Parts: sequence; C-alpha cells; structure tokens
Amino acid sequence: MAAIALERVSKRFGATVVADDLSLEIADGEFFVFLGPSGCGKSTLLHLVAGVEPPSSGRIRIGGTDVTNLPPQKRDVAMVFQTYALYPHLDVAGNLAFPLRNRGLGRRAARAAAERVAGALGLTPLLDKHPRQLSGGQRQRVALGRALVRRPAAFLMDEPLSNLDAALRVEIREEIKRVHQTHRITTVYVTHDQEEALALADRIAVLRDGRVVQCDAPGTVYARPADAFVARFVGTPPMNLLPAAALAGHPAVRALLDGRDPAGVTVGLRPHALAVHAAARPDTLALEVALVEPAGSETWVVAGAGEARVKGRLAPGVALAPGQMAHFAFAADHLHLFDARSGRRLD
Amino acid sequence: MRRLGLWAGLAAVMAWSLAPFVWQLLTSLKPVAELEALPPLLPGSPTLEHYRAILAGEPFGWLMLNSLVAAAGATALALVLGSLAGFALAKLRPPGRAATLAAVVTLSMLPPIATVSPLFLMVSATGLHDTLIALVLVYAGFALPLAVWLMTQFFRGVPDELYIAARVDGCSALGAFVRVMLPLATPGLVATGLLVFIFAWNEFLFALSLTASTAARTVPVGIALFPGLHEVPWGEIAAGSVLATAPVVLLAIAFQRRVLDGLTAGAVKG
Repeated sequence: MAAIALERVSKRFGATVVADDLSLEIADGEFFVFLGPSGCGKSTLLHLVAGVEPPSSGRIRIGGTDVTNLPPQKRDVAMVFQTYALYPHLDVAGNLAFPLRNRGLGRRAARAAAERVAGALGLTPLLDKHPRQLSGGQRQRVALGRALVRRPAAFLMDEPLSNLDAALRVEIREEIKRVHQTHRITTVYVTHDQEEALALADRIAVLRDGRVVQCDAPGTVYARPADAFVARFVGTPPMNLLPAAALAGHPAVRALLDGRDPAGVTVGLRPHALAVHAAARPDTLALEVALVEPAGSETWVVAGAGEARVKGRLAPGVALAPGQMAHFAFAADHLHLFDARSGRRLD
Repeated sequence: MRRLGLWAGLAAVMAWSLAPFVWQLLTSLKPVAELEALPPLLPGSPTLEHYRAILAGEPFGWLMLNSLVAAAGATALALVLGSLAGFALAKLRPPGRAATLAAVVTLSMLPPIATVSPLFLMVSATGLHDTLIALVLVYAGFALPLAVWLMTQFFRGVPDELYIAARVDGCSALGAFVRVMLPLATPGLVATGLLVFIFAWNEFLFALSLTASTAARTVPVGIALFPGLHEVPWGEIAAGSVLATAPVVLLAIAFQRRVLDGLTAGAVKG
C-alpha cells in the first residue's frame, strides 16, 4: 500500500496535450477517481503511473519512492482494463496465478493463492475455464482477482465497467467498492461516467484538456462545482445554466448578484432543486412546457427554448402537458453563480 | 445456382493447381516404355522402379536431408528474428518504425539474381561454400522481410492491453513477449514458418550456386542434375519431384487448422 504523487507531470503526443503540468497527491488507501470526457487522455495518466508510458516531464512517486524511471514490473501496481485483458491462452487459475508466478512464487503456492482469491470473488467454479468461455461480468471479476492476488501497492483501473451492461455495471461497481473497503489498497480509477465517480470515489479530480479543473470529495464536486464545465458534467440530469439576466427579477438571484452586472453572470440550478408547479407563485420562473419526461421515481419537465431551456422536477400531485405554462420554484441556497466568460465559480 | 457457380470455379482452380502434380505422379509410376507415349494417360502397369532407382542409385536421401536441414534451419532463424522484430515494431513503438517497415518491404522486392554474385563471393571468402550454414543464412536473410512483416501484423492483432497487463503483472518486455505475446501469435508463427519453409525448400538459384557436392546440395538442384549426357530420365525426375513435394503438402495439411484458428478470441469483449 502506498501514496501516489504526481509532481508537475506533463505528457504530450505531438501536438496533443494529455497532461499539462499536473501535480496531485493521492493518499495511501484512498479511492481516487479521474473523471473526464471520453478521449481526454485519462487512460494515459494510468499508463504514466504504471510505467508503460514515460512522462514528457515531471516526476512520479509511489510510496515515497521516485518511480519515474522504473519499468512497470518494478512499480508493484496492478491494472484492471475496460477490455478485461485476460490472457486468452491461460485458464482462470492461470490468469490469477500469472502475477505471482512472474514474481517467482512456486506453482503450488501460486495456485493456492489463486484459489483463495477465486473463493473471495465467487470464481471457484470457473477456475478451469478459459476467458472465452466466461461472460463479461465473470471476466471482469477474474481481472479484479488478478489485480488483487498479489496485494499490490496500488490498483489502477481503466474504465473497468464501461464494457458491461447496466445491471452488471452496478454489480461489479459494488464488488470494486467492497474490495476497496476490505483491503484499503490505494486505487486510481479512471472513468467518463460521473455516476461511477460519485458512487466510488473518496476524491474526484475532474479533468479537462490535460488539467485538473477541480479536485474534491464527491459531495463537494456535486454541491460546489468549481466551474460551469464541472457543473454540467457532474450530476444527472445536467445542471441548468441560464443567463443571470433571465432571473434578475428574482430576489434571491438579485441578492446573490450583489451588484454584479447580470450580463456577465451565468446562474446554475440543478433540475432536482427546481420544483415545477402548474399555478403561478411568487418568485417563480414561468416558461412554456416543451417536454414531459417520466423517469419512474420522478417526472422531468423541460420548458423554454435555446439559452433559456430549463429542466425541473414536477412537484408531487401536479400534472402538466406540452404547451402549458410551468412555474419553476427554487430556493436561494440552490443557486450557483458562474462567470459567463471564464465559467469560474463566483460565490 | 450461385453455389453451382462457386463449385465450378473451385473445381477449375483445383484442376489448374493440381494438374501438374497429378501429371508428375502419373509419370513417376509409368514404366519406361510408356513414358513418352500418350495414350495411355494412366500407367498401364504401374511401377515403383523410378523410386527404387533414385533411392538406391543416387544419394537422394542425403539430398532430402540437406533440404530438410537447410529449410528447417532457415525457418527457425527467420522465426526467431522475425518474431522479435515484429513484436518490437508492433508493440514497443521504437523511433523510425514506419521507415523500418518501409525498408523491410523494399528489401523484399530485391530480385535474388542481383545478389547471387556478391553472396557467392562472401560465402566463398568466409569458407562457407558448399555448406548448409551458408544456405541457412542466405535463406533466412531472404525470408526475413516476409517474416518481419507478417509477424508485425500478427502482433498488431494482439490487443495492446494484453502487453500492458503482462508488463504490469511483472514481466519484462522480453518476458511479456515469451509468456503472453508469443503464445497468442502461435497461428502467425505457424503461418509464417510454413511460408518460409516452403520458400527455402523450393529454392533453386542459391542452392545451385552456393553448393558443389552432396555435402550441401538440396533436392531441387539434385533433380536438375538427374539428366545425363544422352538421356533425360523423366521417370526418375518425376519420382524425385513427387518425393520432394510430399513433405510440404503434408506440412500444409497438418498445420492448416492452426493457421486458420485465431487464439485471441475471448481476450477482449467478444
């Protein structure tokens, strides 16, 4: 087990910047999630930590040791991949024992360790099967076991749930969390799925263009997004972003604006914090209903158009149809203010 | 109707490819009297006398053994070097990779005849003339571009994640090559090995110019030297050709499944 530190790490492929002067400390035993849109180079960050890819500049430490120039096999990290990456020519027992055999453990001891891990992950009946005979969920369990079997200093997980269907995703996600709670092995997890990040992370680093836009506990990232990008990226449905001018008449907005020019401010409101009523009330935003989206536990109402498009939650006992006027009510403490130009949080 | 066309096409290709071989087979079984007569197409009284003649009179067994050693040696050497180079080019991303591959392709276009004289001089200068070592080295050299190119393609087919996983799981680059990449590229190794072996087995030009005696002479050259001053022993030539073809045909039949099978199924989502 070990802390991981990135010190001013940069990585470029030609003109593409994957990491731009990145500095981060990941604590021993922490579950740390890199969250970013697809194709932003998150996997490369893991490759840097694993040592499969050298950084263009900067240093990487694992457990206090500078590993920047160490090859992967000397870094004592284990990886879990989106594509499972099980060795197709080995059976499950062989896959689980592979990292141990590489470290010089005898055949019998490695097999025993493989059987222990298989037992803990419910893989015992599959020990003699080959990867191609397994379902996606079973394969990812085996991959998890292969990472776990040698108790590495850190786990590196590269979108391990993205190839699984929805039901399995939740199941394996719980498995990953359980493994982390049991063994407390430092885990660096990369995903584009904000729901996974919120569910798993001790801390989330939101990435954009090779930079960390925000690095906080999931609750903070959700409650106080550092900028409009994070605000839109984290949380489903995404946060409504409206020009402050559209809401300048609202007393709470006016108070928060505190004399700023509304033209330079964007107001953010989570759909969950917007109660949609059919009847007019004081200090509501009135817009024509465009869509009604039932989602089981709640019903979403989309109203307005263009820049003033707003999604809110239908208040209990209220019915609305497209074309009717909807009244969006919100409390002052659910407002987020962002600079309209830079997107930075203002309050 | 379309199936009928397909079968007709296949039959035509089969006939085209097999006819010369069948002709040799028939000739090799005809008694001397029937050799230069047509009809009969089929041997009237089939005989093994030509086979007996080449196996007893001439050192045909030695020629077969020479061919086998030269072809197997060249295949082994080309596979070792070709798979290492292919692995490096496909997975290690060395600088100048594209240029290297371009050079490999260009080299494979080189007409062998252009190199016969210089190679003859080099082989003679190093005292390797009329040795199997010379044939092994030259054949491996000529087969290497093909081996490198094919193995690069096969290793590219193995997902990068498997190489990364092996490295993270404790293998050096070479360890990952031996323990993960090579087992997964077995169909590629077999296919490449088969092509190199066939090339080396059939090779005539270098075998003719770099050997002088049965110490290193191979089957194709040996057969070419069958004709005497006054007669062409067609029956013995045909028998020799059949014997020379048989091992290659058997190899191809034995390994065709391995060549076609992909081992990587199940490595990634599938």
